[in-house]
Amino acid sequence: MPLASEPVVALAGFGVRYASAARSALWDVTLEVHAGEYVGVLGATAAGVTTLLTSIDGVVPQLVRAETTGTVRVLGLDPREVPVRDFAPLVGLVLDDPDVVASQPTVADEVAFGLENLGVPQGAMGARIGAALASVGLAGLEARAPSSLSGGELQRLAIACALVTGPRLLVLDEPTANLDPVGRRAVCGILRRLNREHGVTVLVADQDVESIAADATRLVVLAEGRVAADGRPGVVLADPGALRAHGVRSTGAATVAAALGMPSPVPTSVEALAGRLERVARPDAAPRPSPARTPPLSAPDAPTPAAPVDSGPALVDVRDVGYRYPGGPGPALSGVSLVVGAGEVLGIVGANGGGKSTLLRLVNGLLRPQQGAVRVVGVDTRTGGPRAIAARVGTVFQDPAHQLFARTVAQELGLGLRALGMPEARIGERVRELAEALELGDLLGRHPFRLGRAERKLVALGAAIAGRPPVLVLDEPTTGADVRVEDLVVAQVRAAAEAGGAVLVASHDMAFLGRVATRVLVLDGGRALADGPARRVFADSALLAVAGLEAPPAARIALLVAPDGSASWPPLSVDEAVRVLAPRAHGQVDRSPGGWSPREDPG
Amino acid sequence: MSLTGSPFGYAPGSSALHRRSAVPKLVWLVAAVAFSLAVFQPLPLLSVVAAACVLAVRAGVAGPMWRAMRVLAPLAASIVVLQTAAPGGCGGACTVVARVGPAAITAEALARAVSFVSRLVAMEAVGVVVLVTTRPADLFGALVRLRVPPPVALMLGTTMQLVPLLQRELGIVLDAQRARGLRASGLRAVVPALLPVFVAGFERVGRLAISMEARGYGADARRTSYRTAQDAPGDRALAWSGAVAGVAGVAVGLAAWGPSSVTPLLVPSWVAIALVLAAAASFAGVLAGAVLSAARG
Repeated sequence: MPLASEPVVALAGFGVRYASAARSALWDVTLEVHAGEYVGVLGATAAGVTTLLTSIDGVVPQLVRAETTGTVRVLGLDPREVPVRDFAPLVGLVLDDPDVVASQPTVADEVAFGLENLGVPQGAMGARIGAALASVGLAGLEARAPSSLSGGELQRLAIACALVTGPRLLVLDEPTANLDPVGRRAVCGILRRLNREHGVTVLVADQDVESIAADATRLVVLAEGRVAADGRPGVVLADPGALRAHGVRSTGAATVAAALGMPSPVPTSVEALAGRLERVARPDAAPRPSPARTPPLSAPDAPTPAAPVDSGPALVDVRDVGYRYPGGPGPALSGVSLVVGAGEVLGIVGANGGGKSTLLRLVNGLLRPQQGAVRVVGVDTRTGGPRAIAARVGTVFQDPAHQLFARTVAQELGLGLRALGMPEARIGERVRELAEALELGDLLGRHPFRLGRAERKLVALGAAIAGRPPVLVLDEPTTGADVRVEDLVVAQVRAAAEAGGAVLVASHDMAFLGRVATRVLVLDGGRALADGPARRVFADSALLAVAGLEAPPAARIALLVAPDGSASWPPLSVDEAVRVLAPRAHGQVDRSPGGWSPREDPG
Repeated sequence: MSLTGSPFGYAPGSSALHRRSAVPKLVWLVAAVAFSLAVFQPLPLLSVVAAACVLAVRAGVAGPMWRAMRVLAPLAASIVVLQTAAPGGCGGACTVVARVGPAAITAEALARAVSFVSRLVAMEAVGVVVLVTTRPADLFGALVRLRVPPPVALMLGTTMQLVPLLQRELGIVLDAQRARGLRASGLRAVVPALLPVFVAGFERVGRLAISMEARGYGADARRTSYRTAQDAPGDRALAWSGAVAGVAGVAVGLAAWGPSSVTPLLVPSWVAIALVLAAAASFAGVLAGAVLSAARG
């Protein structure tokens, strides 16, 4: 039992170097975490974040061999010497893949696993299992098979498994990756309650800064294995440029606040930023709902628009499509129609199970519609062969590991081109172009499976666009991606659209969609809830609420504080939001009671 | 321990076999496997297959059973080819029943092949009936109740959990191949797909091991069990009868139908040729596909 003043985690000059690694994963890290803190850890891929988290209970160096330097104490113990299993009652570890807790036949067995290992009497297990499941909102699912749970439920189960042994420190790596906004909010709420109400110390890493910053009492930024910043969220996030240099994004609100010249600490959430702005601070200036001037979008029963108004020639034509998986409880997709034209980037949003991936699989020909028809660049997917469709549609799967087959990155990028019969000389030229565009030049000779997840994602993207297909289909392309990878994906999506292609992107990452989508399709329960220009969809707060979604942070800020009737309203990216708000910040426009004033909240 | 979606996965139902406790089913499965290992004569083995088929039909799982049985067909074909191609086994006094060019098909080799295939099919038939009529959770509980050591039960459970996961991964990878315009069916597609599937499998096993240890697996404390041991008297009687049947079956099988009882299979030459050619064609197709895929990969 540590003394009250003794930190829960204390690292001093701590370093980790994996066997055969060219450089240290962590280097000279000095860090203390005290009881009751909620610490968010940010960092680009390969910055050492996972190494730091898994060093806390000795996974590194005990299970993942590495050399360590410096000192590390966790609850008074040295995790390099105490076996990992003996930390189970003290430290709960949630890895970035919740599937790994799905090894037992039922949810109750899964949670019981930790208790069985610690020798807890059978009679005492039921209550503890029930309490752990209740704390994550899974009460009543005890008899379900973990494999039947949704992604969000599985993530909550992983947390319950870590909690059931009663740890005082909870360590989580990317707990909201792959979750839809509803699942993400649920996980964040659980962590907040555990920390605030039960006093559990939380150490969490996530690429989704918005999720972390809302609740963290402190942020630590790692860059190239070292602590680059450490402090209150409003202070750490106040310098988006410096964060970006470390491969880390700030929150939308903090970025806008910094760009508007607000001093540190800046507000880190949309609501906090709104609270700092005069209009919202006024009692008569409640946040506006969906603007009255915005015409309502497609109602659930209304026909979806056959074609967007300003699109180029139709490249994807989906007509009244329905699909039901064998043995499925109901149709995965029902009565969906849409046309995607040249130059369009269609963002497909919706909760998990809404039909996004099914729609993508119908477009790239992996599924054939049971009802209706899908035509891709003139080819009917029911009759067109796989090669004809593959020549027209490039696909990036959610997990890049699923689509990498070659022995080197260079071969991987050229694989599809060889299948299409392109001469070797042209293949080599195209591979060099792709390597330059995706910053893969140094990795061309490496085996794709020796790359990190983010680099694999870039290789998968490069392979998909290598043949310059007129249609590009991307499934969650930014999951786990840091700023650099996201920027590269954004650039390629825009380039594909500008070259006259059509891009379909299914994503939970609204900030990313705000940067690239020209049009948004909202799927809910397999039906099209709305389909329209991105600004109109993201301005419709009521619609998004029905679908359990949120607009990109930039749009939410504008919806709260920046009334504007222009065609470019609301802004969808942070850059756009800054442009909209900057004139107000500098007193160039509306200083009326309804306008924004750069006066700082003294509090 | 879910096999949902795999050929060996649980097929929901409400038959008497579905409702029966997993413990006697597991005991009878072990008994059938032991009997199949002890017996070398096709007839008693085929009677085991027939009994399993009757049970499957009565439980309404004939379709799932047929789909699962087909999975091992290539293995059966390879056994026939390899056994008939292997010389000897009859002390230089083999009985040639047919010739295909320079190759001779002997009655002894045919008998060995039929014996091996019969044993394989008998074990598979009973195993499939048990798996498709028993919930994975009940199977896991039965292992614990049968006092299988926790590490072994856990290993079996985890392995069975990995099978459908790897199958799901393979399906996704084949989809990815199709989406890239690469071959996505047949063995020539499966071979290059195995790398990403097994890389994913190894990565998953590595993470699973870390997760298990972080949750205290292997701690010094005496491990307890969440599952209670409750069996109806009828189930216990059935389990004990299975154990007795297994012991008796092995004893009788070794004495009456053991390896020494195998007699040369004297069949008309056209039957022997048809049997071996059918197996060889299937086997050669598998091999050629593998070689071509490797060469392309």
